[in-house]
Amino acid sequence: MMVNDGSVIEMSLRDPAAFSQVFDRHWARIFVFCVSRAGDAGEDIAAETFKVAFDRRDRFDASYSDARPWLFGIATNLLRHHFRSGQRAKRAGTRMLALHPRRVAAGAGEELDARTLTPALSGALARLNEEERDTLLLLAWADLDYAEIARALDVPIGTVRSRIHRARHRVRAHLAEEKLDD
Amino acid sequence: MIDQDSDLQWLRLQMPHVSEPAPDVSARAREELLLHAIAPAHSGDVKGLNRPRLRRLVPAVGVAAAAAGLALALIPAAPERTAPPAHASAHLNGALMHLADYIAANETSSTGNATLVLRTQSYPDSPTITGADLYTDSGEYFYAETESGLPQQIQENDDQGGGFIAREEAAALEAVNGNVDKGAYDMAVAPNPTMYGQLFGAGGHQVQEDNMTWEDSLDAIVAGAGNSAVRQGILLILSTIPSVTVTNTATDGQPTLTITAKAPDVPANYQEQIVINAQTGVPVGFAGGNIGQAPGVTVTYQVSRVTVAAIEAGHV
Repeated sequence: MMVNDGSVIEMSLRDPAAFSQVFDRHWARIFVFCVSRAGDAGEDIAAETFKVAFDRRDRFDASYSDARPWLFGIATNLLRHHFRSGQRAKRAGTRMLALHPRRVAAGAGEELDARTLTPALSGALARLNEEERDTLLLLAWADLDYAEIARALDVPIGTVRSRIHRARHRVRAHLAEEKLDD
Repeated sequence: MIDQDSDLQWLRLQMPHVSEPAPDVSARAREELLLHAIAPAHSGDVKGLNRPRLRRLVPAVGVAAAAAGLALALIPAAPERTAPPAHASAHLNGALMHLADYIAANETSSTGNATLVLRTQSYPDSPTITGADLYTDSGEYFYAETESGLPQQIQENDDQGGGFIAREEAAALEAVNGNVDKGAYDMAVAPNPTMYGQLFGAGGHQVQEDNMTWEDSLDAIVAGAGNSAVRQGILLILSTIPSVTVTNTATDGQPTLTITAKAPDVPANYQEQIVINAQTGVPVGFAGGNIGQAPGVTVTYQVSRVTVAAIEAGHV
């Protein structure tokens, strides 16, 4: 019988190497999620996710048998930091080069994503703020349910519902506009 | 045309196609994680530990020459070996080998079937912690804050040994049997031979391996304190670690040896010391902390041989 994630993480408090079992179980999914969102940089972000998780393993509630929400939550925070850093650098570069101002949606972190995302998706995500985007992509790309997203982002499940409701509404509106544009 | 009710499905279809990570990418990330896992601790992380040190892992960042402060004066002259073990390691600390020889020549049969270690851990700014550790000769480990708590742990069979204490002691005996380098390696991977073996087996992480050897040996010399062969083997294994030095000291009027590990085998500007009886190798104390400052933690050990039955019955 396979020991669940909670027990493995608890075990890793005494035997740090045991944490590699968590890596073996979830690395591929975290990798795909991070690379999907951040392109090549996602590889390092995925690797960093497990290091951060290791450092914080004493805070993991071992009563949970599945570490995925926790890991996706850490990955999401790292991705957010990555995009914000990119935005800061981009703004600095923009000022320096005196480029024409660009329309920037609220929480425009996905501008970096646009290198890897389709124009249609990039446009849809640009309508969402950072929190809505993170929440929606955890639902659509990480296959977490509402309760798991709440755990991942450390917010009440009601907040998850309202964010997803708003996000889906905006995505639908974008799709409708795209359809009209066609 | 896109059906608005299928927005989630559309989002999923828009997810960039990303292949599963290539084996070399996964292997690299896994190795980075393992190296990270054995590197983050520092002198402060023992705070609050109520159990023994048990793989308190520390980073290491280079290789230093061996500096063996030989401590021969207090160690009685050892007899001639009839079958000297072959020490292949390049880093051999003569003082530790000398004491190992002396222990072997003066080995006495031990009574009982378990070793009881009464432990007191002290910190500059925190309450003192006590621990009663019972290590059976068959590799079980029972822990309670005080001796009076051990009967319940035994009755509930709350063995916390997890096999690693037995593996550490087996590694020490491997060294006694002549293969010190193999014993040192086995000691390094004892907590989890499969996982640490993947990291150390390929080579290239000698400093981290030495760090693990040091940390596990310190666990083992306490767990195996009641077994002279284990103590002998651990001294041989410690003699292979480059940064280890030995000095003559006295503890409560008794001659002791203080064995010190410094960087690169522990973090920079940090040191750990195990104090052992100069004639038996039985541990009497531990100190860890930044060099030049008061230790961040000190531990005293009181070791005795007992029977499990007597402890279970509340008799010591």
